[in-house]
Order: sequence, then C-alpha cells, then structure tokens
Amino acid sequence: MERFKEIKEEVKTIEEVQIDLSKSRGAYAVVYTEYRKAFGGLKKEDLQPLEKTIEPIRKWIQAGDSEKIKSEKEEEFLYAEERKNNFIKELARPGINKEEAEAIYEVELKKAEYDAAKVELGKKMAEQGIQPAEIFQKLVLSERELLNQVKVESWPPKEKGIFRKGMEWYMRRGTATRLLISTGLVTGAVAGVGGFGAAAAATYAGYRFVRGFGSVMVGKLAGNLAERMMSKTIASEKEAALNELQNNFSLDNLKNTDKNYQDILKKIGKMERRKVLAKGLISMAAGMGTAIGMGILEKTWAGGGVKSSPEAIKPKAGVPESAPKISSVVEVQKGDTVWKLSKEQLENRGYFKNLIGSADEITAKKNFLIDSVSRKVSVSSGDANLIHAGEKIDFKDIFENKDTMAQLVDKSEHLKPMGVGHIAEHLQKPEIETGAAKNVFEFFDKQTRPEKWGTIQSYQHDIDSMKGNLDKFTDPQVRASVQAEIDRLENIKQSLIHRLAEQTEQIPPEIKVSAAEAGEHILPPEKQSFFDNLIYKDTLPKFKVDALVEQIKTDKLTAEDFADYYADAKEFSEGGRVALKDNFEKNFKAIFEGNAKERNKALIAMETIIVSLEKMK
Amino acid sequence: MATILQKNIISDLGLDKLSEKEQEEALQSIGRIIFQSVLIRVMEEMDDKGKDEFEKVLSEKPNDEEAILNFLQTKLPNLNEIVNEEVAKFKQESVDFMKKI
Repeated sequence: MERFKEIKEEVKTIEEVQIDLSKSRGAYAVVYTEYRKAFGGLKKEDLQPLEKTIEPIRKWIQAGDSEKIKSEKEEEFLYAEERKNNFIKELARPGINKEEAEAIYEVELKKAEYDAAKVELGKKMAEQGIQPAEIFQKLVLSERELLNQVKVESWPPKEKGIFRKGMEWYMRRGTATRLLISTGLVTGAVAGVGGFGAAAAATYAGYRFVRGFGSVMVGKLAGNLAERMMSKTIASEKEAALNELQNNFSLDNLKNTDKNYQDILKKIGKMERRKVLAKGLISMAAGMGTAIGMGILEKTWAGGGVKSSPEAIKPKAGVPESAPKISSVVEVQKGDTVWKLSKEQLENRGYFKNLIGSADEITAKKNFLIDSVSRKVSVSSGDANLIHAGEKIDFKDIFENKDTMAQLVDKSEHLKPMGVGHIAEHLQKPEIETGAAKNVFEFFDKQTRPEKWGTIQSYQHDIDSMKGNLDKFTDPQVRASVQAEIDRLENIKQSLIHRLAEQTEQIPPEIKVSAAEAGEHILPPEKQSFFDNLIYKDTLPKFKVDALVEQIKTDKLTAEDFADYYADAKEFSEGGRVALKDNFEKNFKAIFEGNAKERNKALIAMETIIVSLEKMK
Repeated sequence: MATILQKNIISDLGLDKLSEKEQEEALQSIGRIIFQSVLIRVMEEMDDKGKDEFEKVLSEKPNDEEAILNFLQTKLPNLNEIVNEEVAKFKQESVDFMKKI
C-alpha cells in the first residue's frame, strides 16, 4: 500500500502540484502571521543575531516533516521528531524560550515546504516545455510578491498605510526610471551604489542610479527602450496631426492644407532625428556611466498614448497673460538677494506655472529663468550680489519686454535634455543651509565638490571618457550621436571657461588664457588655497562669495571667530591665528559693506595672508 | 570573481529569451519586488518615531525624491547595506531556484 502511495505521489499532475504549492503557501503565511502576532516583529536588534543562529541549524529543517511528524510510521515520526528537537534545542542556547523556538521551527519548516513545492512545480513546468523565463515570473516573481503581501498584511494598519505610500512613491518615479533601475540591479551594473539609496539620495535621485551604470548591455537596453518609446510617441503624434489635418481639410483652403502637411512632415522629421540622437546618447550614457537626462525618456514614455493633437492638450509654457500678483518695484528687505527677488517675481507672474517636464527638468528651467532675470536686474551698486536693505529694485523693464521674456521662456523650454542636469547644477544657487553646515569651512567643503558643481574638469573628464569609448560603438548613427555629445560638452566647457574669465578680470591675461586652456585653476598652483577656490575656481564665484557672507552673517561670526575656525581647520600656529585675526578684522568691513571691487580686494588680501601662513607651516 | 550583487543574471533567469516588451515587464516586476522587500526591511528597522516622520515626509513631499531618500539615509545610515542585501538575496534565491528546476 505504501509503495503504491509513493508511486502515486511521483505521478502527480501539474494541477495537483499547483494545489500543493497553494496549500504550502497558505500554511506558511498562517504560521508566519501567527509568529509575528505572538512575538512581535523582527526588530533590527534581533534580526541579524537570530538569522546567524538559525543559518547553521537549518540542516534540521526538512521539507515534508509536517506530515512525517503526524505519521503513524514510527521510524518516520522518530526521525522527524528528532530533527525538530535538535532545532529547538539549538535555539535554546542563545536564550530563546521553548514556545518561541517552536514557533520559529514552524515558520522555517513551512517555508522549506513551500520552497520545495515551488521547485516541484517548476520542474513540472519545465518538463512541459514551459520557458524558464515564464517559470521564473510565475514561481519567483509572483510568489515573492504574494509573500511580501502576506508580510505586510500582518502589520498594524498604520504601518500598512506607510508601506502603501512608500510603494506609491516608487511607482510615481516614472516608468523609464524604474526600468533602468531594475535593469541596473539585475545586470549588476549598479552593484555597490546602494540601488535605491546612496547614489540616489544626493541631488538628482533618479539620475544617480544611471550614473553608476557601467555595462554596455545596459546601454543597449536603455537605448533600445528609448527608441521604442520614442517611435511609439512619434507614430501617435503623426497620426494625431494627420487626423486633425484630415478633419480640417477643405478644397477652399488647399494652400494652407499643403503647408500644414509640410509642417507635419518637418516636425516628424525633426522628431525622428531627435530619436536617433536620443537613442545614441542614452545608450552611451547608460553604458558609459555618465549622467543622462531621464526626462526625455519619461516624457516620450508618457506621450506614448497621445490621441489628439498634443499641442491642444498639453499646457504650453509661455509669457503669462494675466495681470501679475506682484509689484514691479521691490524694496529690498534684510536677507533678500537678487536671486530670491527674481524668483519671487517669476513665481508671482505665473512663469513657473506651465513648465513641463520631469521634476528635475522643471527645476532646471526655473533656475535658468531665475538666473537670466537676475542678470538683467539693475542695482545701485552695479553688482547684483551687492544690494542693500531699503534699496528699490525695478523689474518693470524686464517683465514689460514681452519679447525678451518670450525668448527666455522659449530658451528654457528648449534646454537640451542631456544638458538639463548640468544646467541645473551650474545655475542653481547653493542653498545656505545654516543647520546643515557647522561652519563656513564645512559649508564650502560641501559646495566645492566637482560632482556637485559640474566643473570644467568634470566636463573634461566626461569628454575624455566619451572620446576613449567612441571606438566601442560600431553603429555610425550612435557614433555620430556620441560625437555630437562630445561637441556639446566641449561647448559648455568653453562657455564656462569664458564665463569664468569674464569674472576674473584682475588676473593677468597670460595666466588666465593658459589656465583656461588647460581647463585648470585660473591661479597658478602655488596660489591655490581656500580663497582661490572661493573666488576663482571654475564655479560661479558670485554665489560662493554671497554664500560666505550669508553664512557669516547668519552665524554672527566675528573676524575673530572666522580666524579661529580657519586656524583650527588649517592647524595654524598661535602666531598665525593672531595674524589671521588682525587681517580679517581689517578686511571684514570691506567684504560686507564695500562694493564689488573693494570686496575682491579684501578677499585677495585675506588670501594673501593665508597663503603666507600656509607656506610658513 | 564577481559577487552575486555584481553578477548579470539576465541569462540565468532566461530573460534574454523574451521579447523586448516581455523583458520590460519582467524587469519592472523585479524592481518593484526588490523595492517592496527593501521597504519591508526599512519598516522593520525603523522605530515608531521614525515611521511617523517617514509618513509625514511621504505625505507632505510625495514627489520630492531627494527629500524622501535623504530622510531614509538619515534615519537608516545602513540603508545602502539593506538595499544591497535585499538585491543580493533576491538574485541569489532566483538563481538558486532556476538551477534546481
């Protein structure tokens, strides 16, 4: 009889095995939930030690023992019972009580039986010629998701609510972004960067994952994905445009119809070219570990289902028509900056309302607009960084000139997708986080990292990296795209050098030119110090000086405090500390109250003493 | 020798045999499931105060990725470790399972 039973078990149908799996999953879910209810959650402090205890004694866990323990066959029963007792005995060593140990045994046993049922079903499916990928999806992915649900269901309502919100947050991250993250995790291309955390936590969460990508395969996958998504969008846009044309077709207006048709063809042609370029850029960026504009992927993905004319349904950015909610003339208050006031003007005039794109793209566009308006503002000192409380600033000329504003908005809307991240990094004024930085040095340590600012060197690095990898691409279109990106980065680098040179007029031209050509510091190496970083390094100096002043004001630092901080940071001698203090006292007034020229002079004087003290160390 | 974290398991899972569309679907599921597992760990490791704050950030800044990830990093300095462990666990279990069938 027993023999017959064994044979019968061997020839279970796939449906029977499916039922076994379902039962074992249910049994596991029940014991897991009961365990949690009885003994609470596995807290951080318990989790690892418990796992360490269980791992070596899992040898006593044998799938099938649930039945054997109930078996009437003495031998089967005894062996199963012995395994259970051994497991529980081992758990008692670190002090787990019998009741909990038995519950843990049940959880472990049911999990093992559930796993065994999965394997059995997997084998059956494979025998029937079902493809491994399908088996994987059904028995690994779907089952894992079910188990996760079981775990979450055992939580109190509040925790469940937080989990739901967390998942909603993840799902809102854009299909393409999530797909690239998954691809990076599965291919190992983002190994070590802490997939959902480290790399993403800093500035541009989504982008940072992609920055870590190092695999050509990921690049190809990402590129193909981009192409497929964009093709879908182009096809639907074309269809929508042609439908509209057909609807408006009139024999009386053939000339216009023909022109509209030509416009559609032109637009589609442009989109096709953009697609080729985007595919190449995304392939390259994903494969080479450089940052890419995810916005383009997300936008095209989101645009895939457009049914009517996209222009008709998408909000369009432009110069707002309604009356502004803010006066053009603003009296400067304590703590105001031109950047802040420009932002308020733009915001209250509705310029930010209809910006479209991903969150990062919108931030980049906003920053572009704020920066552009800040540069046009006229202030009494002649230096936009130097405004005084009580001073009146008039934005009328800027905002009344609708053409200028329309051009700026248009420019912001056409920031190249690949450039959005860079532009945001360049133009965004650093936040003066009083709480985040303990002192000015810590603050600037944070601010001067090249990856934060996108320095000339970082552009050069990207350019070199792309040049070095150009030969890896055999597809001429991809090569052309890579070359185009190299040219684009080269242009940004050159414009940065030019912008930098403009702001450092007091540096002798020969130094400026040679240093700029080398993409290096403007000052010769022996003069590089805290303040040459502060003033001349390849970032936007006005923001740094502004930030320094704000930080000192906020923290109410005296010249003595400042000298102390600096002397401590640089480990200067007591004599050096005194010298710094004297020098800083003389120059602080000029830094806070002088015009741009006086301020620069004061900073250079401070720099000189620092360089001297460093040499004396 | 590549660790499981660094290993490309696309072919181990048979995903390379799927059409692009199916690959995308499978990859989306993988990402979602790994994220679920990470979130479960996060919730298990966070204390009650942390959970309250987490809920607040998720409610007040639902679209601010930076704020949310920064918050998690602050509350759980071992967040990267958790992510790496969950990714490695998922990959190892998946590969082991596929080898058995």
